[in-house]
Amino acid sequence: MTAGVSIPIFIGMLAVFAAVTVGLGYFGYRNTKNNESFLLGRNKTSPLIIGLSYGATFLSASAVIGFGGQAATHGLSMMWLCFLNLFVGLLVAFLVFGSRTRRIGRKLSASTFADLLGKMYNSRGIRFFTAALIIVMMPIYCAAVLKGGVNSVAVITGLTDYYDVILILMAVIVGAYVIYGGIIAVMYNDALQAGIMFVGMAVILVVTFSALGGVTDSFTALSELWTGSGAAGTLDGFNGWTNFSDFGSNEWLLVVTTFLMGVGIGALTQPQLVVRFMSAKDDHMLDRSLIIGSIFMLVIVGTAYTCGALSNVYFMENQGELSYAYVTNTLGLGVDFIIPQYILEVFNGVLGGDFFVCLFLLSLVCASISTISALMHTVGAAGGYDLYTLAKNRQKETVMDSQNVRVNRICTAVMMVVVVVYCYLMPKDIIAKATSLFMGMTAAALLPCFSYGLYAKHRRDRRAAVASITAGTAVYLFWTLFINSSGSAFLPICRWLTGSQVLFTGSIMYVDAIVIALPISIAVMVITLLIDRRTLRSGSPQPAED
Amino acid sequence: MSFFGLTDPYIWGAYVACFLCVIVCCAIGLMVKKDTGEEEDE
Repeated sequence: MTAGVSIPIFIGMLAVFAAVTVGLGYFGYRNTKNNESFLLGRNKTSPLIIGLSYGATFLSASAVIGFGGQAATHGLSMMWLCFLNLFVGLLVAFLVFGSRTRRIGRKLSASTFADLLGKMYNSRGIRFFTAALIIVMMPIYCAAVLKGGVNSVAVITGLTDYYDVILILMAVIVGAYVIYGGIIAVMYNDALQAGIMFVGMAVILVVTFSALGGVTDSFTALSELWTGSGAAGTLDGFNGWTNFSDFGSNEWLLVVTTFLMGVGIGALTQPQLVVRFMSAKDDHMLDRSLIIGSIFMLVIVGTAYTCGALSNVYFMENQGELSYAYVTNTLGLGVDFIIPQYILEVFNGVLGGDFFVCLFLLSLVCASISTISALMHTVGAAGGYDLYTLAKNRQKETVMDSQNVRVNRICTAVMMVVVVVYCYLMPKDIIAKATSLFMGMTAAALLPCFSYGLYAKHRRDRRAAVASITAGTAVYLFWTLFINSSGSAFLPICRWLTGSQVLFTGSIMYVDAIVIALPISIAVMVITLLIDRRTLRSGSPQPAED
Repeated sequence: MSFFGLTDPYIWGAYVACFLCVIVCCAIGLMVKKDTGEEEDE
């Protein structure tokens, strides 16, 4: 990769950033008086903090470099993911789920997503399953985000020999402020990081359109790149970077079912985002945070996908190759490096280019650690609060929630070490796919029971929730491991058992698990509800506790 | 129909949908009355 980063400027920026981060961590520490403030921090939130924190947590380096790289490959159809992020991930999430989550969470004294689901259904099993799902699956997503951020920083700065140092340093800084400052430090740092990301991405958008001759000329040039034959990195049915792919084609199945639906719908059941709703003092605060949240998301995601696709024009004009071919074949890097490479080259020779490249790098660091910190807080709480509470209650035969902040902190520290270990075990180019995997899994397993739990008018049917969770999880795992080619490549269990990557070849291998698992999970829930309602009418009661 | 050089309605439609979404979000946020304190209506 072109070495174009001014190390002194970047180190100077990092030093100021680290000092402010530590200061906010200390602010969080001083205001963390008990477990409730460690987990929710209700008294220190505002619409600005919630909006920025929600946006920064939602949009990791995965959105910028992972999906930005995919936009360079698959084109502007990825802008529908930007719409789904805004519509489903923000508007529907806040209006349909946000206020009810906040109210029911407060009524039930719930402090985490697992706690909320468990108390909704009066089920220790559901709480255990949700916490276990978070502990098993979330570190994979977290490691993908951490690895993505560190990879980019190391390669762009040319400090690849210091990869291990950068990885450990980033993990220690995030771990320290999450462990000591709790959710208050996480949310305030998120807001700071969101501000940096916003400025960095806005500058990139302006420079991109300036470099390519304006908005209309840029898109026209991108349209003209398509010659009608296949492009590297795409599948059958691809129609160019400014046209949607053929309906039902392999390209369409990959883009729509994996990227658009997997991530778009999966955002509704993200435990780290649900906690943001429970942190709000009232519904008005949630509504007002929509303003800043929506503008932030549009600028970050819209810029990443638009500039990702337009990087093809830039690389074709300057290197004679399309983004995918240039970065993966010529430079020998992965799709996740298309955006970083583009930034390095487009700012080369621009007035203040060094500063802006460093600002972009800092934005990437911010995007990574804002998500990692929220994920680590959620994983730590799943172990140190939910599982610890369940274990303690089982031992002492009580129903008290743990108030022990220290256990939360220890658990968060242990999980941070696990995430660092995962970073060394995971393959490259998996940022976008690991994100889809985690979001799809939580949606398939938990979305139906979470939605029903929020809106049930009468007593919530625990059996229906358990059946839906079981069906959603089983179908999602089976489809991911044995049918979908992306999932089975990530965890090659099918290859170990059968010798081939997937059970069936053809278009079906491009269909993401969420398209099958979520409808089945919903159907199982509805059928069980109907059966139980009929059984209830005939006089058989439901068991009191599982 | 061309929208800033984009001719496929499935692509420029995505941009229009994004901007509409932000407008709706801002309208909702701006229409909210000032804090009335804690409410417990569940």
